[in-house]
Amino acid sequence: MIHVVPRQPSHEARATLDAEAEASLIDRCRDQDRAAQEELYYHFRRQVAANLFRALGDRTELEDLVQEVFVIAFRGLGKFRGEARLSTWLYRICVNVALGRIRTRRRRPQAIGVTDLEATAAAQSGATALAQAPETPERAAERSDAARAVYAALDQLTPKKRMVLYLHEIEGLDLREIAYLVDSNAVTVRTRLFYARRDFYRILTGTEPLAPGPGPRPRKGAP
Amino acid sequence: MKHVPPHRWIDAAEARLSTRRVDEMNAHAETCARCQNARAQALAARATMTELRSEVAPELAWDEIRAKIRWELSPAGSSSARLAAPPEDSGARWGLAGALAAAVAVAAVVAGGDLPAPRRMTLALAAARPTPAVVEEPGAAAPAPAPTALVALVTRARGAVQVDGEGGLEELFARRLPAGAVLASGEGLLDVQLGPGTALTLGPRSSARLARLDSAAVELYVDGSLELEVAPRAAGQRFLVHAGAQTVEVRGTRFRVEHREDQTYVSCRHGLVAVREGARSVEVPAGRAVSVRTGQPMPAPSELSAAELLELAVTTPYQVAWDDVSTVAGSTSRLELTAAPARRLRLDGVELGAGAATVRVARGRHLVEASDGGGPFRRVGWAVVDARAAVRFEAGAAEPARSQAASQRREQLRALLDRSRLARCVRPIAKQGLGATYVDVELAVGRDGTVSFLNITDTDLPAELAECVRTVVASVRFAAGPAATIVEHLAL
Repeated sequence: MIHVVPRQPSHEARATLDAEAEASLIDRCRDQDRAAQEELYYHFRRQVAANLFRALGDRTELEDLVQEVFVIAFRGLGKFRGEARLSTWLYRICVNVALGRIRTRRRRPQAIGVTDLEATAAAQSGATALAQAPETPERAAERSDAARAVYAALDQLTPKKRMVLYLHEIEGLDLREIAYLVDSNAVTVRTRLFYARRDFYRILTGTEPLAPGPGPRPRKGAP
Repeated sequence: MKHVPPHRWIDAAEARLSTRRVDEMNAHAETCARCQNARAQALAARATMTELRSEVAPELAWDEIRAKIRWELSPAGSSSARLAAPPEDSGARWGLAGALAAAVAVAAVVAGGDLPAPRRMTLALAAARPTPAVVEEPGAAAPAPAPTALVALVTRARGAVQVDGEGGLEELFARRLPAGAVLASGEGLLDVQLGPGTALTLGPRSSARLARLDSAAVELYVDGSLELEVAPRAAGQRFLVHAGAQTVEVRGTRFRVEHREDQTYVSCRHGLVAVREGARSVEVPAGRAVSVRTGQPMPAPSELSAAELLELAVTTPYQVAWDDVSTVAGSTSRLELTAAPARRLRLDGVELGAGAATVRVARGRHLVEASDGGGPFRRVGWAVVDARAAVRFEAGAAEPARSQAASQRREQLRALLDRSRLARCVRPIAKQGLGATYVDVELAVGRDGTVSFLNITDTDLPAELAECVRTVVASVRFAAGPAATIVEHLAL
């Protein structure tokens, strides 16, 4: 059974249930028990929102995406075979939903300013845990600028490369865990990660493309 | 040596390269500005990504999302979703459907009949329906359906309040309020939700009667103060507030009505309200207010001050996600929040005002925050509501107020501190990808603004950088004012 746990514990502990409670909850959800569905939603909502938030880097349409994840989950619970923990399975749905969102965003440019406005509103409401620690406006602005630069560079990668890099660098997952989440194998993920990192740091530092250096050779058909 | 590919600096930082290779890269960077710059940027980005790992989700409208999920999963929601969003690859099928529709229309015209009227979809207030119901508006010839009776629920109570003469919290939150219910308040506030997105707050020393409450119209009679938030009405739906001789009609807005004796004051935060008295009427747009005296000419609306607008924003009626009344009543519980009278509370990001309050909440975890003396909201804890029984949460006593003199001097320090110089002090370590450092300083400011002592009490900076910060703090020139000793935490 695959149970994805970040290498460094996340600020917000992953919502997990013991195996027995989880199985019972899944069964009740499959029977369309409303109370069970609500229990599942309230248990995992913050984890789902946090995964989507970190994957996309902004809260535009975050509420819609959280809704989409849970609707997919409730509709697909019948096919859930229990080969992974429920939290991991939900994580996998988050990855797919985020990938869909990234692809849509690449086709349809985002409205200018929406992200900033919402981020400001969220910061003002003290919504993030980081905002609970005393932080000077300058420090917050620096942090925000740095995060924006990272996500701007991520935006320029292809969706698959971006997702693999995000899962490895930001979520701290290893190749096997990433492979499960993106429905691939570890070797493919390793190759994709190599090119994602190379491209990402080139974009970030604004350096010209360089001659291929040492590292895994791209397989035929690799991204 | 060629330039170093930027990602190699990350490999070096993660010890994936040989020492010899790293030495070569560093030696090259010593003489190459481009590679030095790339190294700094790459390492800083790596540090940022590690920091992002601890980023948590922002607070969202959890109950609203829950209601939408329920709607999506309901049979009506599923069919509506299919109707609203045809699959992208179904062009051929939709083309066929379009051709069929055109053929039917042509046949109708050829037969001499009228084309079928376009079917308009409108959102109606839900009563016995399981979700925000989508109903088809009947054609002009069809008889109008009888309006469906609605019921309201209490969502927040504070202080002395009553519904139909009953004042116990358990009774208030258990009741479903039909048309005819009478709300009254002493020194307290009462919030009642009438449907999705529609709620009212009865102010202190006020009373209101829900004269009519159905899918066609909502009518209220008020004596005293009433805050209202009204979701946009569907065609044919009316929302009326009778305040003495005046009647206020809205389509969808956020406004306040205050009626005392023969005077009615109506202020509007957004939307548009119409105030009528007999044949005379005046429209009050967003950001304006009007004060009408019975029998007197209607004055033109005046602009609201910033303070009044702020007050309107803060006193928004408290609402819960609403699909149908049975589900709301069955899936919510009473949460009693206790706090010092001056302590402002916030629940899941929604301000509840100062002091203790009892609110209706969905089952689950709810974030409780508190603010003292106009300061920022800080997390008090999580209120876990997992049963239908009421839950009590102690939001604590107010923190002791800091001396006014110290607060004043602290504010001056924050305003006068040269942040750009502070940032320059820590730039050397920021370039190494290190951040989130701090310096705690203690200083005494005299009446004439002189600083008699300035100490660094704690820091995680190297001594020379801490000294740089101290110099910046020492350069602050305070104005004359009260003497105070302050301790300030400078996060850098």
